[in-house]
Amino acid sequence: MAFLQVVTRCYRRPAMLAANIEALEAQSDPDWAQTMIIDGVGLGVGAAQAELATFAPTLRGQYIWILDDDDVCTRARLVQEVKAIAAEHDPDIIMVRMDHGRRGILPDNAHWQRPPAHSWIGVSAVIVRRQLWQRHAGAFATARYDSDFDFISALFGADPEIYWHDVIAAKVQRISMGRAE
Amino acid sequence: MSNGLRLLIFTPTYAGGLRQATIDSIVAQRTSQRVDWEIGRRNPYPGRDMRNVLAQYDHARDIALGGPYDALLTVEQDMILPPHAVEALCNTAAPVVYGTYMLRHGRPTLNAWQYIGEQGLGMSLDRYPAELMALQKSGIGRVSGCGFGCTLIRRAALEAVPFRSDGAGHAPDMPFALDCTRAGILQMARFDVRCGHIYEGGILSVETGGPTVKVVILQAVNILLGGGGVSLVEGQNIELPPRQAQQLAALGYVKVVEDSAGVPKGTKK
Repeated sequence: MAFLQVVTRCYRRPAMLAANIEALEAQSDPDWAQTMIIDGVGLGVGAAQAELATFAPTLRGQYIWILDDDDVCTRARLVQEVKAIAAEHDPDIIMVRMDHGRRGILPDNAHWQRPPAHSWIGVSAVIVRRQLWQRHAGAFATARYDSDFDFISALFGADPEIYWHDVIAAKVQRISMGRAE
Repeated sequence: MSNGLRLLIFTPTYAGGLRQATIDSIVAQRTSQRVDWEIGRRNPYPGRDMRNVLAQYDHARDIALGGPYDALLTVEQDMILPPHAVEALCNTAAPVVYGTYMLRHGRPTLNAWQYIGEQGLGMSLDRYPAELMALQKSGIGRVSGCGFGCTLIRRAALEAVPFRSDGAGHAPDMPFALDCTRAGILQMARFDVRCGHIYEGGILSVETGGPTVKVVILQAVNILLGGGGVSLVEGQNIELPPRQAQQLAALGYVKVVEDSAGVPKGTKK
Protein backbone atom coordinates (compact mmCIF):
# COMPACT_ATOMS: atom_id res chain seq x y z
CA MET A 1 0.00 0.00 0.00
CA ALA A 2 1.04 3.56 -0.66
CA PHE A 3 2.89 5.53 2.00
CA LEU A 4 0.34 8.35 2.06
CA GLN A 5 -3.36 7.68 1.59
CA VAL A 6 -5.28 10.81 0.73
CA VAL A 7 -8.96 10.67 1.67
CA THR A 8 -11.21 12.98 -0.31
CA ARG A 9 -14.89 13.51 0.39
CA CYS A 10 -16.76 14.53 -2.75
CA TYR A 11 -20.10 16.09 -3.41
CA ARG A 12 -20.84 17.26 -6.94
CA ARG A 13 -17.89 19.59 -7.24
CA PRO A 14 -16.19 17.99 -10.24
CA ALA A 15 -14.09 20.96 -11.33
CA MET A 16 -12.62 21.37 -7.86
CA LEU A 17 -12.13 17.62 -7.59
CA ALA A 18 -10.24 17.65 -10.89
CA ALA A 19 -7.96 20.39 -9.55
CA ASN A 20 -7.49 18.38 -6.36
CA ILE A 21 -6.49 15.27 -8.35
CA GLU A 22 -4.26 17.20 -10.73
CA ALA A 23 -2.29 18.76 -7.88
CA LEU A 24 -1.68 15.36 -6.35
CA GLU A 25 -0.62 13.96 -9.71
CA ALA A 26 2.14 16.58 -9.66
CA GLN A 27 3.76 15.10 -6.55
CA SER A 28 7.48 14.44 -6.98
CA ASP A 29 7.11 11.14 -5.12
CA PRO A 30 4.38 8.84 -6.46
CA ASP A 31 4.09 6.86 -3.23
CA TRP A 32 0.54 8.00 -2.50
CA ALA A 33 -2.98 6.82 -3.23
CA GLN A 34 -6.26 8.65 -3.15
CA THR A 35 -9.64 7.32 -2.14
CA MET A 36 -12.73 9.38 -2.76
CA ILE A 37 -15.84 9.05 -0.61
CA ILE A 38 -18.68 9.89 -2.97
CA ASP A 39 -21.79 11.53 -1.57
CA GLY A 40 -24.54 10.74 -4.03
CA VAL A 41 -27.42 12.30 -2.12
CA GLY A 42 -26.20 15.49 -0.44
CA LEU A 43 -25.62 14.38 3.12
CA GLY A 44 -24.51 17.73 4.42
CA VAL A 45 -21.47 18.54 6.48
CA GLY A 46 -22.35 16.69 9.67
CA ALA A 47 -23.18 13.39 8.01
CA ALA A 48 -20.12 13.73 5.80
CA GLN A 49 -18.06 13.86 9.00
CA ALA A 50 -19.75 10.70 10.22
CA GLU A 51 -18.86 8.96 6.95
CA LEU A 52 -15.23 9.13 8.00
CA ALA A 53 -15.93 7.01 11.06
CA THR A 54 -17.38 4.19 8.95
CA PHE A 55 -14.62 4.61 6.38
CA ALA A 56 -11.84 4.14 8.93
CA PRO A 57 -11.57 0.31 8.75
CA THR A 58 -10.81 0.48 5.02
CA LEU A 59 -7.76 2.68 5.44
CA ARG A 60 -4.53 1.11 4.19
CA GLY A 61 -1.91 3.85 3.90
CA GLN A 62 0.95 4.22 6.35
CA TYR A 63 -0.16 7.81 6.92
CA ILE A 64 -3.57 9.36 6.28
CA TRP A 65 -4.33 12.86 5.02
CA ILE A 66 -7.85 14.21 4.56
CA LEU A 67 -7.99 16.54 1.58
CA ASP A 68 -11.60 17.17 0.54
CA ASP A 69 -12.61 17.95 -3.01
CA ASP A 70 -12.81 21.68 -2.31
CA ASP A 71 -9.24 21.65 -1.00
CA VAL A 72 -6.09 21.34 -3.04
CA CYS A 73 -2.52 20.33 -2.26
CA THR A 74 -0.18 23.26 -2.81
CA ARG A 75 3.13 21.55 -2.27
CA ALA A 76 4.47 19.26 -5.00
CA ARG A 77 7.15 17.78 -2.74
CA LEU A 78 4.86 17.05 0.18
CA VAL A 79 4.89 13.25 -0.08
CA GLN A 80 8.65 13.25 -0.50
CA GLU A 81 9.10 15.49 2.54
CA VAL A 82 6.65 13.62 4.76
CA LYS A 83 8.23 10.33 3.83
CA ALA A 84 11.67 11.63 4.81
CA ILE A 85 10.27 12.95 8.10
CA ALA A 86 8.65 9.59 8.83
CA ALA A 87 11.87 7.75 8.07
CA GLU A 88 13.92 9.97 10.36
CA HIS A 89 11.52 10.75 13.20
CA ASP A 90 8.74 8.17 12.99
CA PRO A 91 6.11 10.57 14.34
CA ASP A 92 2.45 9.74 14.96
CA ILE A 93 1.35 13.08 13.55
CA ILE A 94 2.97 15.41 11.05
CA MET A 95 1.50 18.88 11.37
CA VAL A 96 1.47 21.19 8.36
CA ARG A 97 -0.37 24.42 7.64
CA MET A 98 -3.32 25.10 5.36
CA ASP A 99 -4.39 28.26 3.59
CA HIS A 100 -7.99 28.75 4.58
CA GLY A 101 -8.44 31.86 2.46
CA ARG A 102 -10.87 33.93 4.48
CA ARG A 103 -9.34 33.00 7.84
CA GLY A 104 -5.75 33.01 6.61
CA ILE A 105 -3.12 30.40 7.38
CA LEU A 106 -4.16 27.68 9.86
CA PRO A 107 -2.78 27.09 12.37
CA ASP A 108 -1.52 30.63 12.53
CA ASN A 109 1.67 31.52 14.36
CA ALA A 110 -0.17 32.00 17.65
CA HIS A 111 -1.44 28.40 17.52
CA TRP A 112 1.53 26.68 15.87
CA GLN A 113 3.23 24.10 18.08
CA ARG A 114 0.33 24.38 20.51
CA PRO A 115 -2.61 22.12 21.35
CA PRO A 116 -5.42 22.44 18.80
CA ALA A 117 -7.68 25.47 19.17
CA HIS A 118 -11.21 25.46 17.82
CA SER A 119 -11.50 27.34 14.49
CA TRP A 120 -7.74 27.60 14.21
CA ILE A 121 -7.04 24.21 12.71
CA GLY A 122 -8.46 21.94 10.02
CA VAL A 123 -8.11 18.30 9.04
CA SER A 124 -5.90 19.07 6.06
CA ALA A 125 -3.29 20.41 8.49
CA VAL A 126 -2.94 16.99 10.13
CA ILE A 127 -1.20 13.96 8.61
CA VAL A 128 -1.71 11.00 10.88
CA ARG A 129 -0.32 7.51 11.27
CA ARG A 130 -3.06 5.11 10.19
CA GLN A 131 -3.35 3.19 13.45
CA LEU A 132 -3.77 6.38 15.46
CA TRP A 133 -6.29 7.69 12.93
CA GLN A 134 -8.35 4.52 13.17
CA ARG A 135 -8.19 4.45 16.95
CA HIS A 136 -9.82 7.87 17.19
CA ALA A 137 -12.10 7.76 14.13
CA GLY A 138 -15.06 7.37 16.46
CA ALA A 139 -14.83 11.10 17.17
CA PHE A 140 -16.34 11.67 13.74
CA ALA A 141 -19.33 9.47 14.49
CA THR A 142 -21.20 12.18 16.37
CA ALA A 143 -21.94 13.76 12.98
CA ARG A 144 -21.46 17.15 14.57
CA TYR A 145 -20.45 19.82 12.12
CA ASP A 146 -17.22 20.37 13.99
CA SER A 147 -16.48 16.75 14.82
CA ASP A 148 -13.26 17.19 12.84
CA PHE A 149 -12.09 19.30 15.75
CA ASP A 150 -13.22 16.57 18.16
CA PHE A 151 -11.11 14.15 16.13
CA ILE A 152 -8.01 16.35 16.16
CA SER A 153 -8.44 16.96 19.88
CA ALA A 154 -8.71 13.22 20.47
CA LEU A 155 -5.50 12.68 18.51
CA PHE A 156 -3.64 15.26 20.57
CA GLY A 157 -5.11 13.82 23.75
CA ALA A 158 -3.42 10.51 23.03
CA ASP A 159 -0.04 12.11 23.74
CA PRO A 160 1.33 11.41 20.27
CA GLU A 161 4.77 12.10 18.86
CA ILE A 162 4.24 15.20 16.72
CA TYR A 163 6.53 16.60 14.08
CA TRP A 164 5.78 20.22 13.16
CA HIS A 165 6.59 20.63 9.49
CA ASP A 166 6.22 24.33 8.88
CA VAL A 167 5.01 24.44 5.30
CA ILE A 168 1.69 25.34 3.70
CA ALA A 169 0.55 22.02 2.28
CA ALA A 170 -3.03 22.75 1.26
CA LYS A 171 -5.37 25.49 0.24
CA VAL A 172 -9.13 25.81 0.38
CA GLN A 173 -10.42 26.29 -3.17
CA ARG A 174 -13.81 27.44 -1.95
CA ILE A 175 -15.59 27.13 1.37
CA SER A 176 -18.39 24.90 0.16
CA MET A 177 -20.24 24.12 3.40
CA GLY A 178 -21.78 21.06 1.78
CA ARG A 179 -22.89 22.83 -1.39
CA ALA A 180 -22.36 21.56 -4.91
CA GLU A 181 -20.49 23.61 -7.48
CA MET B 1 -26.46 5.39 3.30
CA SER B 2 -25.81 2.16 5.17
CA ASN B 3 -28.84 0.23 3.95
CA GLY B 4 -27.56 -0.39 0.44
CA LEU B 5 -24.37 -1.85 -0.93
CA ARG B 6 -20.98 -0.71 0.12
CA LEU B 7 -19.34 -0.20 -3.23
CA LEU B 8 -15.79 0.34 -4.38
CA ILE B 9 -15.43 2.08 -7.72
CA PHE B 10 -12.03 1.49 -9.23
CA THR B 11 -10.67 3.42 -12.19
CA PRO B 12 -7.36 2.22 -13.55
CA THR B 13 -5.42 5.06 -15.14
CA TYR B 14 -2.44 5.31 -17.42
CA ALA B 15 -0.33 8.37 -18.23
CA GLY B 16 -2.70 10.81 -16.56
CA GLY B 17 -5.51 9.66 -18.83
CA LEU B 18 -8.40 10.20 -16.42
CA ARG B 19 -10.88 12.40 -18.25
CA GLN B 20 -12.73 15.34 -16.76
CA ALA B 21 -16.00 14.00 -18.16
CA THR B 22 -15.38 10.74 -16.31
CA ILE B 23 -14.81 12.59 -13.04
CA ASP B 24 -17.93 14.65 -13.69
CA SER B 25 -20.08 11.59 -14.30
CA ILE B 26 -18.89 9.72 -11.22
CA VAL B 27 -19.36 12.69 -8.94
CA ALA B 28 -22.80 13.26 -10.47
CA GLN B 29 -24.10 9.80 -9.52
CA ARG B 30 -27.43 9.98 -7.76
CA THR B 31 -27.25 7.09 -5.39
CA SER B 32 -27.98 6.09 -1.86
CA GLN B 33 -25.27 3.41 -1.94
CA ARG B 34 -22.13 3.92 0.08
CA VAL B 35 -19.53 4.60 -2.59
CA ASP B 36 -15.77 4.86 -2.30
CA TRP B 37 -13.78 5.62 -5.42
CA GLU B 38 -10.16 4.70 -5.93
CA ILE B 39 -8.11 5.84 -8.90
CA GLY B 40 -5.55 3.20 -9.81
CA ARG B 41 -2.13 4.55 -10.69
CA ARG B 42 0.06 1.51 -10.24
CA ASN B 43 1.61 0.58 -13.57
CA PRO B 44 4.58 -1.57 -12.65
CA TYR B 45 5.65 -2.27 -16.22
CA PRO B 46 7.29 0.59 -18.15
CA GLY B 47 5.60 2.00 -21.24
CA ARG B 48 2.29 0.88 -22.72
CA ASP B 49 2.57 -2.66 -21.44
CA MET B 50 -0.80 -4.42 -21.29
CA ARG B 51 0.36 -6.36 -18.24
CA ASN B 52 -0.25 -3.13 -16.35
CA VAL B 53 -3.97 -3.55 -16.98
CA LEU B 54 -4.05 -6.88 -15.20
CA ALA B 55 -1.85 -5.50 -12.40
CA GLN B 56 -4.32 -2.66 -11.90
CA TYR B 57 -7.35 -4.94 -11.72
CA ASP B 58 -5.52 -7.31 -9.38
CA HIS B 59 -4.91 -4.31 -7.15
CA ALA B 60 -8.61 -3.40 -7.33
CA ARG B 61 -9.58 -6.94 -6.40
CA ASP B 62 -7.19 -6.88 -3.43
CA ILE B 63 -8.66 -3.63 -2.16
CA ALA B 64 -12.25 -4.77 -2.62
CA LEU B 65 -11.79 -8.18 -1.01
CA GLY B 66 -9.52 -6.78 1.70
CA GLY B 67 -12.14 -4.21 2.68
CA PRO B 68 -15.77 -4.30 3.72
CA TYR B 69 -17.04 -3.92 0.18
CA ASP B 70 -20.06 -5.77 -1.18
CA ALA B 71 -19.10 -5.13 -4.77
CA LEU B 72 -16.50 -3.70 -7.09
CA LEU B 73 -17.53 -1.36 -9.90
CA THR B 74 -14.91 -0.97 -12.57
CA VAL B 75 -15.08 2.32 -14.44
CA GLU B 76 -12.47 2.97 -17.10
CA GLN B 77 -10.72 6.34 -17.29
CA ASP B 78 -12.57 7.38 -20.43
CA MET B 79 -16.15 6.41 -19.61
CA ILE B 80 -19.11 8.73 -19.11
CA LEU B 81 -21.75 7.18 -16.87
CA PRO B 82 -25.36 8.31 -16.79
CA PRO B 83 -26.34 9.67 -13.35
CA HIS B 84 -28.41 6.58 -12.46
CA ALA B 85 -25.69 4.07 -13.37
CA VAL B 86 -24.55 3.14 -9.85
CA GLU B 87 -28.08 2.84 -8.53
CA ALA B 88 -29.28 0.76 -11.49
CA LEU B 89 -26.33 -1.63 -11.43
CA CYS B 90 -26.56 -2.09 -7.66
CA ASN B 91 -30.29 -2.77 -7.89
CA THR B 92 -29.81 -5.57 -10.40
CA ALA B 93 -29.88 -9.02 -8.83
CA ALA B 94 -26.93 -10.64 -10.52
CA PRO B 95 -23.34 -11.32 -9.50
CA VAL B 96 -22.00 -9.45 -12.54
CA VAL B 97 -23.80 -6.51 -14.14
CA TYR B 98 -22.60 -4.55 -17.15
CA GLY B 99 -23.43 -1.01 -18.11
CA THR B 100 -23.57 -0.78 -21.89
CA TYR B 101 -21.20 1.17 -24.10
CA MET B 102 -19.39 0.94 -27.38
CA LEU B 103 -16.05 -0.85 -27.42
CA ARG B 104 -13.66 1.32 -29.36
CA HIS B 105 -11.08 -1.10 -30.72
CA GLY B 106 -11.65 -1.48 -34.44
CA ARG B 107 -15.23 -0.87 -35.53
CA PRO B 108 -17.27 0.41 -32.59
CA THR B 109 -19.10 -2.57 -31.13
CA LEU B 110 -21.59 -2.91 -28.29
CA ASN B 111 -19.98 -4.41 -25.19
CA ALA B 112 -23.00 -6.61 -24.39
CA TRP B 113 -22.29 -9.99 -25.88
CA GLN B 114 -24.95 -12.57 -26.59
CA TYR B 115 -25.45 -15.35 -24.07
CA ILE B 116 -25.18 -18.69 -25.90
CA GLY B 117 -24.86 -21.09 -22.99
CA GLU B 118 -21.98 -22.10 -20.79
CA GLN B 119 -19.63 -23.28 -23.54
CA GLY B 120 -18.21 -19.87 -24.38
CA LEU B 121 -18.71 -16.23 -25.24
CA GLY B 122 -21.20 -15.09 -27.83
CA MET B 123 -20.73 -12.18 -30.19
CA SER B 124 -21.75 -8.59 -29.66
CA LEU B 125 -25.51 -8.17 -29.62
CA ASP B 126 -25.34 -5.42 -32.20
CA ARG B 127 -24.98 -8.25 -34.71
CA TYR B 128 -28.49 -9.34 -33.71
CA PRO B 129 -30.63 -6.20 -34.09
CA ALA B 130 -33.97 -7.84 -33.28
CA GLU B 131 -32.67 -9.44 -30.10
CA LEU B 132 -30.89 -6.24 -29.14
CA MET B 133 -34.01 -4.17 -29.70
CA ALA B 134 -36.02 -6.49 -27.45
CA LEU B 135 -33.37 -6.30 -24.74
CA GLN B 136 -33.17 -2.54 -25.01
CA LYS B 137 -36.92 -2.39 -24.66
CA SER B 138 -36.87 -4.49 -21.49
CA GLY B 139 -33.79 -2.63 -20.26
CA ILE B 140 -32.05 -5.70 -18.94
CA GLY B 141 -30.95 -9.09 -20.16
CA ARG B 142 -28.53 -11.94 -19.77
CA VAL B 143 -25.21 -11.66 -21.58
CA SER B 144 -21.92 -13.52 -21.72
CA GLY B 145 -19.86 -10.32 -21.07
CA CYS B 146 -17.96 -8.17 -21.86
CA GLY B 147 -15.63 -5.30 -20.94
CA PHE B 148 -14.72 -3.54 -17.70
CA GLY B 149 -15.76 -0.04 -18.80
CA CYS B 150 -18.65 0.03 -16.34
CA THR B 151 -19.06 -3.34 -14.70
CA LEU B 152 -20.34 -4.26 -11.27
CA ILE B 153 -18.90 -7.43 -9.76
CA ARG B 154 -20.39 -8.58 -6.50
CA ARG B 155 -18.10 -9.98 -3.84
CA ALA B 156 -19.05 -13.63 -4.36
CA ALA B 157 -18.15 -13.45 -8.05
CA LEU B 158 -14.99 -11.52 -7.27
CA GLU B 159 -13.94 -14.19 -4.81
CA ALA B 160 -14.80 -17.03 -7.17
CA VAL B 161 -13.20 -15.69 -10.34
CA PRO B 162 -9.72 -14.19 -10.14
CA PHE B 163 -8.65 -11.84 -12.89
CA ARG B 164 -6.25 -13.31 -15.43
CA SER B 165 -4.98 -12.50 -18.88
CA ASP B 166 -5.65 -14.73 -21.83
CA GLY B 167 -1.95 -15.49 -22.15
CA ALA B 168 -1.46 -12.99 -24.95
CA GLY B 169 -0.95 -10.11 -22.51
CA HIS B 170 -4.43 -8.78 -23.08
CA ALA B 171 -6.79 -7.20 -20.60
CA PRO B 172 -8.58 -9.49 -18.14
CA ASP B 173 -12.14 -8.58 -19.13
CA MET B 174 -12.70 -11.32 -21.71
CA PRO B 175 -11.12 -14.09 -19.63
CA PHE B 176 -13.24 -12.95 -16.69
CA ALA B 177 -16.41 -13.07 -18.78
CA LEU B 178 -15.46 -16.50 -20.09
CA ASP B 179 -14.66 -17.86 -16.62
CA CYS B 180 -17.98 -16.53 -15.29
CA THR B 181 -19.85 -18.03 -18.23
CA ARG B 182 -18.25 -21.43 -17.78
CA ALA B 183 -18.83 -21.34 -14.02
CA GLY B 184 -22.51 -20.60 -14.57
CA ILE B 185 -22.24 -17.19 -12.90
CA LEU B 186 -25.09 -15.01 -14.06
CA GLN B 187 -24.00 -11.94 -16.02
CA MET B 188 -26.60 -9.34 -16.89
CA ALA B 189 -26.40 -6.14 -18.91
CA ARG B 190 -28.36 -3.00 -18.16
CA PHE B 191 -29.38 -1.68 -21.55
CA ASP B 192 -30.84 1.36 -19.82
CA VAL B 193 -27.42 2.26 -18.43
CA ARG B 194 -25.92 3.68 -21.59
CA CYS B 195 -22.44 5.02 -21.12
CA GLY B 196 -20.42 7.26 -23.39
CA HIS B 197 -16.93 6.13 -24.29
CA ILE B 198 -14.42 8.88 -25.00
CA TYR B 199 -11.84 8.24 -27.63
CA GLU B 200 -9.44 10.49 -29.56
CA GLY B 201 -12.02 11.52 -32.12
CA GLY B 202 -14.96 12.08 -29.79
CA ILE B 203 -17.51 10.21 -27.73
CA LEU B 204 -18.87 6.85 -28.76
CA SER B 205 -22.46 6.52 -27.69
CA VAL B 206 -24.74 3.50 -27.61
CA GLU B 207 -27.59 5.49 -29.12
CA THR B 208 -25.75 6.45 -32.27
CA GLY B 209 -23.13 3.72 -32.38
CA GLY B 210 -20.43 6.26 -33.13
CA PRO B 211 -18.95 9.62 -32.19
CA THR B 212 -21.28 12.52 -31.43
CA VAL B 213 -21.12 16.29 -31.30
CA LYS B 214 -22.96 18.53 -28.88
CA VAL B 215 -25.46 20.89 -30.41
CA VAL B 216 -28.02 23.37 -29.18
CA ILE B 217 -31.39 23.30 -30.90
CA LEU B 218 -32.18 26.66 -32.54
CA GLN B 219 -35.54 25.72 -34.04
CA ALA B 220 -37.99 22.90 -33.28
CA VAL B 221 -37.75 20.05 -35.78
CA ASN B 222 -38.51 16.34 -35.95
CA ILE B 223 -35.66 14.10 -37.09
CA LEU B 224 -34.95 10.40 -37.47
CA LEU B 225 -32.42 9.24 -34.88
CA GLY B 226 -31.45 5.73 -33.86
CA GLY B 227 -34.26 4.23 -35.89
CA GLY B 228 -37.01 6.38 -34.38
CA GLY B 229 -38.49 9.84 -34.68
CA VAL B 230 -37.21 12.43 -32.23
CA SER B 231 -38.66 15.88 -31.61
CA LEU B 232 -35.97 18.46 -31.07
CA VAL B 233 -37.10 21.29 -28.85
CA GLU B 234 -35.74 24.78 -29.20
CA GLY B 235 -33.12 25.58 -26.57
CA GLN B 236 -32.28 21.95 -25.75
CA ASN B 237 -28.71 20.68 -25.75
CA ILE B 238 -28.26 17.23 -27.27
CA GLU B 239 -25.64 15.07 -28.92
CA LEU B 240 -25.93 14.02 -32.54
CA PRO B 241 -23.81 12.04 -34.98
CA PRO B 242 -21.43 14.48 -36.74
CA ARG B 243 -22.98 14.16 -40.20
CA GLN B 244 -26.50 14.73 -38.93
CA ALA B 245 -25.31 17.66 -36.83
CA GLN B 246 -23.61 19.24 -39.84
CA GLN B 247 -26.72 18.84 -42.01
CA LEU B 248 -29.01 20.34 -39.40
CA ALA B 249 -26.51 23.13 -38.68
CA ALA B 250 -26.36 23.98 -42.37
CA LEU B 251 -30.14 24.29 -42.37
CA GLY B 252 -30.09 26.48 -39.29
CA TYR B 253 -31.92 24.04 -37.01
CA VAL B 254 -28.98 23.51 -34.63
CA LYS B 255 -25.73 25.12 -33.67
CA VAL B 256 -22.67 22.98 -32.92
CA VAL B 257 -21.40 23.95 -29.47
CA GLU B 258 -18.79 21.28 -28.90
CA ASP B 259 -17.04 19.05 -31.39
CA SER B 260 -16.76 15.27 -31.18
CA ALA B 261 -13.62 15.50 -29.03
CA GLY B 262 -15.46 17.48 -26.39
CA VAL B 263 -13.75 20.73 -27.42
CA PRO B 264 -15.94 23.86 -27.37
CA LYS B 265 -16.55 25.24 -30.83
CA GLY B 266 -14.02 27.90 -31.74
CA THR B 267 -11.28 26.78 -29.37
CA LYS B 268 -8.03 25.01 -30.24
CA LYS B 269 -7.35 21.50 -29.02
